Amino acid sequence: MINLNNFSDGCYKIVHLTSDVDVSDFVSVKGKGLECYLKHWALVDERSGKARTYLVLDTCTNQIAAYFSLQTGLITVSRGFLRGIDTNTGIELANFAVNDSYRAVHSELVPKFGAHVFSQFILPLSMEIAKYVGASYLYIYSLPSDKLMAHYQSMGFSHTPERVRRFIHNHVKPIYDRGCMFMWLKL
Amino acid sequence: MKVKPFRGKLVRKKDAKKFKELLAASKKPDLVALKKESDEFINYIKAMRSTQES
Repeated sequence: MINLNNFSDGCYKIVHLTSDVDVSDFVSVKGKGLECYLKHWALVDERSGKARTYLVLDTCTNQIAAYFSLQTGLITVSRGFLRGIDTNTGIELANFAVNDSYRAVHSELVPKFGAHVFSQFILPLSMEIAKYVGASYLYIYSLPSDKLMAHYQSMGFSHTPERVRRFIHNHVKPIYDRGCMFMWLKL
Repeated sequence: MKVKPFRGKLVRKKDAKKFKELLAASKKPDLVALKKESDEFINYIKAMRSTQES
């Protein structure tokens, strides 16, 4: 059994999203879809079991500093037209956003907080999950921003050359992630 | 870097092969380096908070 308290770093902790938590003050200026997901869809996915959402809380104020969602998934590669597909198991980091209203008050966090959340919470939790459920990769569909993709690369994610990327994964890529860039990291 | 959205084309065999090679060749993240950066960040945050409190 995974104990979420083990991931606390003294300043931040993660908790599982429940209907008891107030998420109304969460703001994502550049990721309105991410804000909308947390406020309107995260609990729906929790109830159906489609995804699990974790809130990163400031241990001093209990304010939501960031959130992320994880779900299982497959990385698929076609063998060619009507020849089937090869699959690799993975965990999808489906949503990941820092609360801009929290960041505005704590300007000292800029710009390393996202990287900290990733290495302190997301990666260790994914690696722990991978001990229970086979998962070879952690993957994301990043928003198509050079700066963001470079940021993910600095955290260890890989991506494909554009020519390859345009032709892979097209049969299972969710419409929600249309236009986003596939990136992965080996667990 | 120029980024284009998916256009729904079929997979070419050599692109699929290239992707498989890239997946297989990917390395695990450097956990020691990530932990070091995280520790530095937390120490910095703790120092900032103690300064604000005093």
